[in-house]
Amino acid sequence: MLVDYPGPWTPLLGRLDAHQIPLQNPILFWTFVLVSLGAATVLGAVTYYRSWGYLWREWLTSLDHKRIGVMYCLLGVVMLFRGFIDGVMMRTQQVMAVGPKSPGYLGAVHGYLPPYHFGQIYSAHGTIMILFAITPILVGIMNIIVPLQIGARDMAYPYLNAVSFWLTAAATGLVMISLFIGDFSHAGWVGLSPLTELAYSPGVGVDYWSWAVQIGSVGTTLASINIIATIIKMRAPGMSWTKMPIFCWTALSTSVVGLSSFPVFTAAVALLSLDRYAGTHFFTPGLGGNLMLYTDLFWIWGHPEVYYVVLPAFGILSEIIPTFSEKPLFGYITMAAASIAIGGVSWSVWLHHFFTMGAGPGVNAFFSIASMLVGIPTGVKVFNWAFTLYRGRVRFDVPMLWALAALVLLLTGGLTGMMLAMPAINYTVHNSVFVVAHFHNMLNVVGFACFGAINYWFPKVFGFKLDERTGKLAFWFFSAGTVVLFGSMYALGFMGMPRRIDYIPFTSWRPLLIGEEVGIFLFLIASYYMVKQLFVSIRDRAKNRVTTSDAWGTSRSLEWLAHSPVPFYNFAVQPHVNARDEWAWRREHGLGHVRPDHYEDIHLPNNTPLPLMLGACAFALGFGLVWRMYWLALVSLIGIVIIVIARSFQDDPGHTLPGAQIRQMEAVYPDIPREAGATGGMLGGVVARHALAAPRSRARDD
Amino acid sequence: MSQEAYVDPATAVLWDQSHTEHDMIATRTLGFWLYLLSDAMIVSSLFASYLVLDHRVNAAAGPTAGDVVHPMAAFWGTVLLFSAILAYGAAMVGLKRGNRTAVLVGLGGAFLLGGGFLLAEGYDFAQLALHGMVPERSGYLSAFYALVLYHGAHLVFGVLWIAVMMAQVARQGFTPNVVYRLLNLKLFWFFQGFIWIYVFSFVYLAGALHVH
Amino acid sequence: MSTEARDPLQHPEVQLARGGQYLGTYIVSLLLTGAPLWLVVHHLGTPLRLMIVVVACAAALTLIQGYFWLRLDFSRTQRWMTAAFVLFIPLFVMTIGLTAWMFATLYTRTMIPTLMHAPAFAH
Repeated sequence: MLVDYPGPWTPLLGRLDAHQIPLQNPILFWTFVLVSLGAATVLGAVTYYRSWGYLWREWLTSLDHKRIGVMYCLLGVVMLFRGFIDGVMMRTQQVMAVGPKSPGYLGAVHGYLPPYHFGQIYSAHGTIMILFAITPILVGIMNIIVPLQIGARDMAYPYLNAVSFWLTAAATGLVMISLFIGDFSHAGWVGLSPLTELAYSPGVGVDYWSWAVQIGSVGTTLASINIIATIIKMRAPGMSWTKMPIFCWTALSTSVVGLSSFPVFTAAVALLSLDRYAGTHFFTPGLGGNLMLYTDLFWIWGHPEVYYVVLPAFGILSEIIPTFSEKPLFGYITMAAASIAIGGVSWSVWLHHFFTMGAGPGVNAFFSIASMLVGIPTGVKVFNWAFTLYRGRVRFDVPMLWALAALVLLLTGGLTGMMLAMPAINYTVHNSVFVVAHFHNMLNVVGFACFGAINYWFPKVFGFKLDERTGKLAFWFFSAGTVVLFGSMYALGFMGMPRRIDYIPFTSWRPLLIGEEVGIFLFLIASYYMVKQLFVSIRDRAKNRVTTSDAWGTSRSLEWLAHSPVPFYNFAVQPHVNARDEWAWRREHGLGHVRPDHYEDIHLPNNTPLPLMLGACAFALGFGLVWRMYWLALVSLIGIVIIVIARSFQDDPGHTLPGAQIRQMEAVYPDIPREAGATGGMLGGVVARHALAAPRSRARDD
Repeated sequence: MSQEAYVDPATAVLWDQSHTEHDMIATRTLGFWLYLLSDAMIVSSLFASYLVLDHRVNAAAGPTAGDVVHPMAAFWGTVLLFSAILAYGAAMVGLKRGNRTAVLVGLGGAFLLGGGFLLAEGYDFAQLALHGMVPERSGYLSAFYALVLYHGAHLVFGVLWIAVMMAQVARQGFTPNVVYRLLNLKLFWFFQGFIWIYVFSFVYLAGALHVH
Repeated sequence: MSTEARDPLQHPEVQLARGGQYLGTYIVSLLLTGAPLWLVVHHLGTPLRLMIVVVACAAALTLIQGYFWLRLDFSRTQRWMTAAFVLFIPLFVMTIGLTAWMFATLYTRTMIPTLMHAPAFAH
């Protein structure tokens, strides 16, 4: 059953040996040194401040949806940076390797990256940005915000939530470790078939890619189930479907898309793995395989995935724009309907990624028309946002800047998308950087929305605002970078430049390639300001402290009724929803400060390390399979089964928080009218249980 | 735009003190059903692959559906599988009455009949392998094995789960957690019969028809 | 949300179980798989007609098992499950149907039909 592949194998270590650690490559070597130093610093700091217990109790074993959401976002942001560095390396290679006379360094004929290494970088860039950066950030934001917006105490399945996160983390770990042990796939983030087959990619790179995305997509599928069930079952009393915030509508739509499409991806990549491990012939060129079948299955997931990331972004814009226009959202019903419609139509457009396959004209026409149909609900949304802005009192806070720029990008990205939906144009620009510029344009919409969301909801989660000045600088440099980089890329696409090339033969393209390089350096400056924004905000957190539940003064939905930072039990008493924009309604009717008159006991799940252990087993399973250490794979698989069964026998009863204790905890919040305005919560926010137990940390902040 | 019904802020209810707890069992079964539907998407992808690869070209001059499938043998598997589901149904009737013995007997029956299905399928595949019809032979055979074995793998998992539930029912009785797991397992077990309808019709019966 | 039953056995989803319906569905299921099998094995009809019978029986069984075994109906306890299932049906159909369609046209438009009739591939 198990296929042969070139190279040695030992029962204990599989394909792994000391030569697989790429010390001879200076780029990877120094990355390794830097990452090791960084990890040592972080671990050292945790040990020095004796925070292991805190980390274990409050984060690693936590089932609190806000903690898990913050960890998701943190993971996503770190991976966003990793993917960005990949982008910098690609831009630099392309600007260096122009024309036959361009010099070569570090073993490359032109530029500084040999083709195989370049291939790994663009594959890693795409895989990471889509699956391990944008997706975790959005899932994290949904995790934090959806239960708050519907007035729930947690997700429907807090334990499953932690499992989803740790599976995503395990998958991310596999991608990261491929930097230093072995190599990564060079076959593009889409897994270009049959290049991914064992005959053409005999190394472990494709295996790293395939197991990482399979584990990650299981995590995302489970997260989608959780969000759907939370929205259906956990809404606060009074919150009918037509009173639900638009972000929840988009979260619902996106989770339906995720729930239905990620399994297809898992299937496609699992079949590829069968080809590579068991010697089957699903996608091989010979013996009856059909390599376009892979492309088909991949894009059945791949296109809905695009909407999976863009829908929550639309939801974020629908929350930010009304807040800073000081008006209710225009056209609520059409907005909700459009969110669902986009999710629905997204399912019938996937062939537009391979119009050039050669299917019949009827097929191409069907998918072309379906692709253009997406423009209708999206157009509805854009007009609704525009009408929300119209005659509003528009304020230009940092979240609003990101949101407005996202609208502009959505316009250009949407219009180029319309162009690509026409098969005639698509045939001409297929696999050119025009396509790359288009989808980067669209993913920048998502990125802008994410940055907006982080700025917007940060005070809700942590209790202090992010710094305004550095935030604006980051925004302007990032926007300038987007225009310069992707403007140049669109132009290069029209000039016929293919994607994924490590060497550019035409020197006439050099000026625009330099433009792209300038753009990415503007991004570099923007990312400096983003880090600085975080640093400055944490340093000056006493100054930026939010003293009311409503950080922006004009926000509308239910999450702004909860304290800032949100306590671990979210709402001491479940709110009853009376209006579509419940918080705005309470504020406008002078009810913003009305708190419950008595508190009842709250039942909460206990922390558990099992999700973390499941993640560790999933990582070991992936690692064992990549290196074909079958014993490790088997042991970790058995470990997973044992943990699942053990959990079912555990019958964790949870614990009860007495009403009297809640009253005591609620009293520390400054948004409750009383004299002493002591704020709970040290850095890392989401008001920790231990922060209330230890008054020392409060005193330091005041 | 649609205006909301006016709520008088002076009398509006702001906090829900009625202490409503959400229905844990219904929440769990809904989530599990959503999981089953997402799993059905994997089955759909495998069916799509099977449909594409069920073509003479993809058989690579090797056996085609007509040579591989044995609808009569598959029918005995069908009988076993549906009987296993019926046995689980009996356990569900026992659960409704709170009869622990009936539940254990029903689960035991489902365990044995499900195991019987797996043995029959294993025997069938062993015969195929003896005739050189292995998944590595061609794209068609790969798709055939993947689809049928994916269903089989679910039954392996289901049988394991039934064993776990028998232990839990015997040890813990009908606690809310045990009950929701029994209901989820019911959905899982019944759903495998559902999928088998399609495997039987479109792999075994259609394969015997040579319509491709 | 108010269907809070202290005794889990009183939960409406437990109370859905119906022995008679389970048994009836079992018998009908065997009939509706056995009948097309009998027709196919004895070649009673053209392949196209037999295929229509197979599809019709599978569709009927879907409804019968879905309603009587999985209890996909519009009662208060089950309606979300029914809704989810109904919403997934177009996705199943599109995944399989559109894929089959595009590859059918692809196979027709590329060299594969010629290969099919080549002697080496004849059976």
